[in-house]
Amino acid sequence: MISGRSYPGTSGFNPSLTRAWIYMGLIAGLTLCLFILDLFLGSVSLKPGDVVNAILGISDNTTGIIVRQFRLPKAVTALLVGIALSVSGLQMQTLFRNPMAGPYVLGISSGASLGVAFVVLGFSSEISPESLSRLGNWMIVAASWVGAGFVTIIMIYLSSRVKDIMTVLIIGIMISGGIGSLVSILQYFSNETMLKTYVIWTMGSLGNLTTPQLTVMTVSVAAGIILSFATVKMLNAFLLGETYAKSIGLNIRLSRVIIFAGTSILAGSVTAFCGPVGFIGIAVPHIARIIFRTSDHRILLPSVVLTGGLVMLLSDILSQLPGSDNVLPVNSITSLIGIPVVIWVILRKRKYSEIF
Amino acid sequence: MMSEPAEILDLDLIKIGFITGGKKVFLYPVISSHAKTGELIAIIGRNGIGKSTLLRTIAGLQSPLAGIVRIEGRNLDRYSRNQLARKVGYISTEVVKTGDMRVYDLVSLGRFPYTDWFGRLDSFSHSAVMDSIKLSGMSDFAQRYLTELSDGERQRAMIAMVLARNASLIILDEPTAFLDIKSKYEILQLLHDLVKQQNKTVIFSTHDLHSAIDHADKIWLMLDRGIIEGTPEELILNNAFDELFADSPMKYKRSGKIKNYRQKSI
Repeated sequence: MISGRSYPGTSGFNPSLTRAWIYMGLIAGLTLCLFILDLFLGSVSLKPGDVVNAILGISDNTTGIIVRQFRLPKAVTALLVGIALSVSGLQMQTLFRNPMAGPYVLGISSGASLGVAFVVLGFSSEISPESLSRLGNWMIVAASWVGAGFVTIIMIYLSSRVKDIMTVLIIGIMISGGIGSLVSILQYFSNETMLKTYVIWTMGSLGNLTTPQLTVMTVSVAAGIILSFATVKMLNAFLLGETYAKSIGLNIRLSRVIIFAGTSILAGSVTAFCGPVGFIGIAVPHIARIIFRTSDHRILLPSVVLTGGLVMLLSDILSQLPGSDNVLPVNSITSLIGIPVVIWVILRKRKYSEIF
Repeated sequence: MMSEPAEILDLDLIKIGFITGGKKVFLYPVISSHAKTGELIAIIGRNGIGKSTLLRTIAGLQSPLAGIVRIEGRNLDRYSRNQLARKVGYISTEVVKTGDMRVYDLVSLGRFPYTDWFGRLDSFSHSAVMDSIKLSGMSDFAQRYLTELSDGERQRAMIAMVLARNASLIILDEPTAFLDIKSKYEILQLLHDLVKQQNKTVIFSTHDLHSAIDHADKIWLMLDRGIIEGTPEELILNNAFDELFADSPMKYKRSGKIKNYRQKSI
């Protein structure tokens, strides 16, 4: 039946591919622009010329320190956070075939919040806020990582045992809910200073990373992205639903575990260093789908990487309220950008019974 | 080449069902049957009798609770997922409606067992995809989104996906259930052509007795006491279809009509 005769077009023929490359180029260019703009904007207004000198490493004065030690790491962090959360959101949406799934459906953010709450709130009577700050934020990072890792391992284990993926989703939501109530108990018994520290953590922050922390996060995100590129073929199969994915030759359990591992590394490391940054992971994959109009992860994944970086840089710039010296919590901005996108996607697609 | 057609499927004393809470739940008496290359087989039986379970078992999506399923003479357990995908194609009652997915993308996924780790199609795979799209009559729709298609067109696209992986045995669970009359006959004709022209073996379940009798080479009649199989003519001559109406005053007539023998006075 298969003739082996040639058809017009190259192998892997796809007429929308050229268009996709053009869009990716545009988004990459725009991301670069926003990255540079992010260096010029901040709570202290600097002369553009000084910033350029500082980037080139010419100046050693205060401007140099502000740009090289504060703004550059912050912009890099924004880029990494955007990429990591968006990629993990894409993976979760495809795997659960649910447009509302995101990086945190596996309980990563609730696990992290429990870890942080234990350290910040639970031991508030033992540790004074001063001694906590002397430890630096490594303590919060470690707590968050342990908490996220703990819940994620439980979820990965369950998902390798449970047959139906919807069951995994529901268990994830239930576990998150349960942890939420544990955290509120801890909040109820904690003192004001500690409560404030915790609440500020939940608001997310891109600017608290030290250089070694940024290095750790860069390596983790890079590892997670490499792993996610290795799952592209599996993700495409999951688009058909698990029965068909199995019938076309996919090993469902192994694929689930690999995809979950990638997601956990991505979302877990971001949450550890920056707190639970919301809605980027849910909204960006939808934005990419609208722009690229494809379900093929070979195109979607790089698109989501670029779009994620772009949206997060934009959120960071907006959170600095250009022209003023106030800085808003980045989580509010990402929510304000993300929520309308998600609502719009759902309304736009109401014609079809399913997005997946 | 008039040699005896090869036996592609052999059901050797299998028991179908599922395992729940560590207990085996048998759905049906022991089944022994087989299918040859180039046969179009229709499975008929009441709702809940186990048609879907049988089809899923043949497709390797669930294991038989007893007995052996052989595909081309080899125990189904001995196939890896990838090897099995190259032999057996399966289309369930669930039709894929993934957003932003084109017909070409869907059919490309049919090449899954053959593509590299990134899912890239080489030129041979590309030709296979285009051939399958053409064979299922979807050439004009290759770049259309699945969500824009009618139910019949989507079912054709699903069939193209199965064809793309060059599976010799194609299993379909009620492929015509939600289709209008025109699409229904087009799909049945397509299945018939695949069997006669491409030498595929097709097994499908249906509730449409008439089109099964018209199109199928063989019918597996799933009754409560077991499977009765035969050509449509044999089954009609043996009045086998009457058992479908066991608890009802209806009877199947040789003319193809279904007549009510209920007495007027009741």
